[in-house]
Amino acid sequence: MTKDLSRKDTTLGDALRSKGISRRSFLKFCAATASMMALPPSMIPTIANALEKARRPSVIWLSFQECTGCTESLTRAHTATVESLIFDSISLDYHHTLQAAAGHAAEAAREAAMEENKDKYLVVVDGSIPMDNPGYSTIAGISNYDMLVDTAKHAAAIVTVGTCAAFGGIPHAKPNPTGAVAVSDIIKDKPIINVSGCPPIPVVITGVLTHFLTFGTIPDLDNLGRPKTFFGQSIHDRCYRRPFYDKGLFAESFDDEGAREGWCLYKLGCKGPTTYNACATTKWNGGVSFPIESGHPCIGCSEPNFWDGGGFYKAISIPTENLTQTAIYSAAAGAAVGVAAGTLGRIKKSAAGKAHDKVTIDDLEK
Amino acid sequence: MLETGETRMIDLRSIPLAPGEEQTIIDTLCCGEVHATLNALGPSEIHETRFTGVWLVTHYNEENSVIGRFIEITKIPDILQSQQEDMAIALQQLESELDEWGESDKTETQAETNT
Repeated sequence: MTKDLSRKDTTLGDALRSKGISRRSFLKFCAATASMMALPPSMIPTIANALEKARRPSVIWLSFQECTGCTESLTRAHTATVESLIFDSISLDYHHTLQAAAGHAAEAAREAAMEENKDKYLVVVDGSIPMDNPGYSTIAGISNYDMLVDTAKHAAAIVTVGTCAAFGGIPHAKPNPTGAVAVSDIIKDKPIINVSGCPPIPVVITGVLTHFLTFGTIPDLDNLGRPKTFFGQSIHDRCYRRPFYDKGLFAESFDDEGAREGWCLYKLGCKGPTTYNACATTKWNGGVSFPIESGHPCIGCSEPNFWDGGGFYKAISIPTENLTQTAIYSAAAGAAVGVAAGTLGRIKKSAAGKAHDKVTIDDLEK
Repeated sequence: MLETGETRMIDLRSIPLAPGEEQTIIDTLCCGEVHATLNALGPSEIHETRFTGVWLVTHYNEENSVIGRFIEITKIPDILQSQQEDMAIALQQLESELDEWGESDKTETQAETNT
């Protein structure tokens, strides 16, 4: 007998089978998932068994001061992958951009989901929260602040999707006219997983959901609350142009020989050394490429205060010696120079962010 | 494995390889007598390597991007075997189709008798 897939007790296995996904395909997905989440292959049967039996979690998605790019990132997948099937298999009980209901009917759906799944539902947030005047952003007459606090009260965990929800993002940029803050500035008593990026990589969002479904816990997080699996290494460390950095070969402009040869974009303002994300390995547009592969420096969109970081096309720091000399040291010291440059840039960027001052190339040279 | 039957699986993506090293591993191992292709949410290529019992399994998504690459030390990779759940569904499907066939045959025989 066909199972009613709208029921809350439907398992993920039921949902996938109803879509014609064979067990063999499911095992293949679990193998790829284990690899993506940096888990040992011996975990594949565990992942398969846990996902097979996992109940569809209730998810309440709150959109505050945002541009809908994060939702677009997740829902505009090129093909129906199993990752997207995982997303389809959750019970998305509230998402005012995607749902048919509006106004009070939509709010009733949110309240019903909270009541039915008390202490078990996940809250996904995209967008920052205005603290100056609640009227800057409201939904059905409810301020973003009130809606967040009310919805988070009985949530199992909160996933912030995008840099706006994770760190304040573009609304938080100087002069921050709405007094925008991140979710973590308001909610202090719930586990928060920051999936930053502008927008974030879709597979990272589904990776976090898969981890929650598999283990019932949140993944290991870095000091900024981001899953280490995806944010554990800098773009610079995983960049395929890194060997050019080590050899001191840099593009000086967007149309010089270095640019044509695919050399390192460090001098053109690449924020790869200070940016932690999975773009260099997971890539974008169905694995086609990522910004650096397309010839543009990384703008550091997954980091706090990236908009106030001193200009997208300004190098994050200028070594005291010329870069060719630095590269010689780099070759001798491995990644140490890159790490040091990254650390220096992060410190300066952090200071700039706190002061909300624009950092110029001159400031960085001081 | 020869002594205990214990199988092992190595995720090549978990090893920090320099550019070209993964290809070197593939070139060194491949290829042996068996090559199979799966079509399950995108293709998968399964090769037994020159070293019997050592398999190279590469999973692709529907856009032919590699989503996982493993070395398996086993007699036959699990993913090649028919899965219990799929067999149960297949059995139901086979019975259903045979029933339909039988019904259709019965109707035709009845029609001929009436004629």
